[in-house]
Amino acid sequence: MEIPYLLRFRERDKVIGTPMKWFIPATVVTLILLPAWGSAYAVSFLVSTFMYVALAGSWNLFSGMTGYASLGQGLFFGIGAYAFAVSTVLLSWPPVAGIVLAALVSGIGAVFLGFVLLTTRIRVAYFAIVMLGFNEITKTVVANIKAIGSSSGLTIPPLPSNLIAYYFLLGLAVAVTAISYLIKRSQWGLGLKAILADEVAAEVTGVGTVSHKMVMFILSAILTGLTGSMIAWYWSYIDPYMAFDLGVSFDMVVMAIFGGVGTVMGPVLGAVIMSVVKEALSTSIPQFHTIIFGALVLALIMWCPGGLMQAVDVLRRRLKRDAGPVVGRVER
Amino acid sequence: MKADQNAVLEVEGLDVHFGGVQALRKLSFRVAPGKIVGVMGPNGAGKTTLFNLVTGVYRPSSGKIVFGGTQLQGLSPARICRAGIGRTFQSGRPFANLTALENVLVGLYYGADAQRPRAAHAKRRGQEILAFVGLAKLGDRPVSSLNLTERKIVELARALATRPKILLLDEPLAGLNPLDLEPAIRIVRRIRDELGITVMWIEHIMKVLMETCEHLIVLHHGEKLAEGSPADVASDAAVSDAYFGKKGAFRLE
Amino acid sequence: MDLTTFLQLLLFGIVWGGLYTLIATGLNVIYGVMKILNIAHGELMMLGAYMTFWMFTLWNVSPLIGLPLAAVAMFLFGIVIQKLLIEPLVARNLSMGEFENATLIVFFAVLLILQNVALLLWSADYRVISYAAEPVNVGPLSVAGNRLIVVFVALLVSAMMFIALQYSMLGKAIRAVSQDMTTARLMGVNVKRIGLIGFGIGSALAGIAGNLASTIYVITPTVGLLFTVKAFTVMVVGGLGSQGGTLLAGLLLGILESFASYFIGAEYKDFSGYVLLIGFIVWKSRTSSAFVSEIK
Repeated sequence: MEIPYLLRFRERDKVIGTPMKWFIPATVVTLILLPAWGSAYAVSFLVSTFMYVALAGSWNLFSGMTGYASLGQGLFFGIGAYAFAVSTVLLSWPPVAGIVLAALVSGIGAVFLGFVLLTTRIRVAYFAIVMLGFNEITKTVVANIKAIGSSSGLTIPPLPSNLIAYYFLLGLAVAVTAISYLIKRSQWGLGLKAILADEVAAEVTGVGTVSHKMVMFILSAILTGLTGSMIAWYWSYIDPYMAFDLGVSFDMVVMAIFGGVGTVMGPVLGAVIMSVVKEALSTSIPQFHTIIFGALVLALIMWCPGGLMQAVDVLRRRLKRDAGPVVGRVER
Repeated sequence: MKADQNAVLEVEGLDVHFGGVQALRKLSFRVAPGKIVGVMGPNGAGKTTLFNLVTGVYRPSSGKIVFGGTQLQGLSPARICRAGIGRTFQSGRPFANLTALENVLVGLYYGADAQRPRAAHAKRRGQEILAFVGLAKLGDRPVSSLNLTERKIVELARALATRPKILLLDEPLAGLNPLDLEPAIRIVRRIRDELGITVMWIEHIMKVLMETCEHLIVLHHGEKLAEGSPADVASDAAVSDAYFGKKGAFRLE
Repeated sequence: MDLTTFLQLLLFGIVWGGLYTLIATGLNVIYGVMKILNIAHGELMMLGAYMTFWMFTLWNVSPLIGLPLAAVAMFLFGIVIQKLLIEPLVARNLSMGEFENATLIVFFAVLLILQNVALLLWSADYRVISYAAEPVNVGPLSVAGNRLIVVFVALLVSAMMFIALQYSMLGKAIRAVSQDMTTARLMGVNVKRIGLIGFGIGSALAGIAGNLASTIYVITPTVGLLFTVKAFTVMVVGGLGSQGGTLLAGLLLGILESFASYFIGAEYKDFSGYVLLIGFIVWKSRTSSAFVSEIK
């Protein structure tokens, strides 16, 4: 396989604008130091924000970059959560083993599903729904296995400190974003863009579409599974309806597309905004905040179908009064 | 440059069906290296299907496809590309979300293993290829901003970048305006003369095929109707029967 | 298993199957004219169900009378959605991928909003309509009257839809747009208007399905998504755009669920539908070209 060769970087690509080059490390450092003076509330808010960033970014790594939108990526979140719970509660293994197991099971699950689904040129719409279907059947199956608690779920010994979740998820969020960045800059990333544009044309140009799709799918699954494992520990309880909640799958899609699908910072932006909005509105009646959230998402997508990153791009052009041609789009 | 004498494309007894319709029937032929070979036939004769089979996009129901001694049937299109078979599509399918140069870079990075440029040189090599096809100034233009002729040539450049030994061109002249025809034909000739790449092309403009090809294969209803030099084919009774008996899609200019 | 049980299960399957066919037909029409997947379709059905429930509970309006009312109301609602949300996106001239992504999000937002407005207004309490629930004897079987009504109406409406699509001018226009929008436009079909009407019809069908379902099932704000997925299953298995296929697939799903429920357990009712969906798609993507992205 050509992986080592293709990981080489190609020509420096304008993936992130220059101001971001100091802004991002500065933010990360701030976040690392924050727990020292921040409130418990801030920590818990950021834990869920990091979770959203990791989830949106993971979704984007596969679905955003190859164009195979998955409406059931939350499947791996649930798998990761349950792997951790089973290992910690039923097998009495140390938490680290649970986390590793979560990554392993998610990865293996992705290999299996990938072989079934990604070795054909399945239409994207069908792939999307099949993933949703897998999420649902896994939910049903898990809910009917007595050994792992069936529908009552499992209670997990809680975290010794929320900071474990805080730093783990921060690390994941950073890792996911960094991986997206590295991939976009590499030759492998160019191959992915080719697959996104025209899979058959990519194939006859030598791009191994199956290998590219499989690798990204497995990567996405593992990262999602890792997120699930830590969140299970953080919640210290899971049941099939929480672990395999379709809302997770949907949130991932919305955040990534809302922020700008296929870009590096898009999912981050989308996740942060969704997290802030959810938090800001949650003090009122829960249904109310979802309605407002829905309305906001609607307004944004109507205004800027390409998501936030497109809006940022448009604004940046207006500011620079760029005379160059408009960035190309994927053709119909 | 001389063509690689091992780059012989041989097709034997090729059959393919799609849902009950036999698209190709017992097709056999041989393409000698360094030649420009034309494939002609009315619409629906199976020409594009043939290209799809050779490049691995479809799998044959039976038969063999051998290139340079390697059997290609059943291999993935990417693997076949790396074996040295390049291809363009009838409708011109460059990657619309990339620039012209990036299209060529994909070909450079993912094409045949031999002579793959290192990252630092890739950009320069890409520019060279664009210059060869006459698009030197369009490297940084997004493909979506180019016109049809330019897009088809970008696609051609991309195929060249994969370092093919044989290039399969599917109606490269279709959709081009009359002024662009001559330059395009010249590029095809140069591909064979200067780069030593065997060319196999599907075209409907008979005059072009008659003038540029040394060898012609005529398909009809999925079968080989005739094969030979342009003179042979032009005087073949079966061929003229097939064409002038129907409202062909052919333009005799 | 004795004959009576078998027939009973079969009948139950047909009852639900008819309902699924109805919802799927609505989804199919919308997909046909706009080429978008309305994942909020189930929510439209939910609204139809609630409308019927409130008219019945507050003003004693029989669901049978409520049916055309729900249909009209949802038809108008569908037109509003198309006009306000979809037409502006179409006018943007986006690429196929962008348009699909954007409409996915739009419908998802609609789903969220409708579900939560319903939760807010009517709470999550289970609502039930008791209408024509007395058993009726059909041969050796004893079936609640409302179930028979549901089958009858569902199949009747599906048949009417089929006839309308085949023989009416509007139906032909809709089919033309579904098959080839560009050519239809060139032939003088007002594609924009067909889009509006198409969405309206799809929505109306969802409303009718909701009306029928409200008499034999519980009504909650979250009941929508499940039905959307079932409708999608029927669409896929039956073949996009094929009326006969949708009918067969709908009945197949209903009967499959009925028997699976009996043999494996009620919790596995929906499971069997998903297995059918996944199995079908996976099988077809390896054997048929219709399920695979195009090559030419």
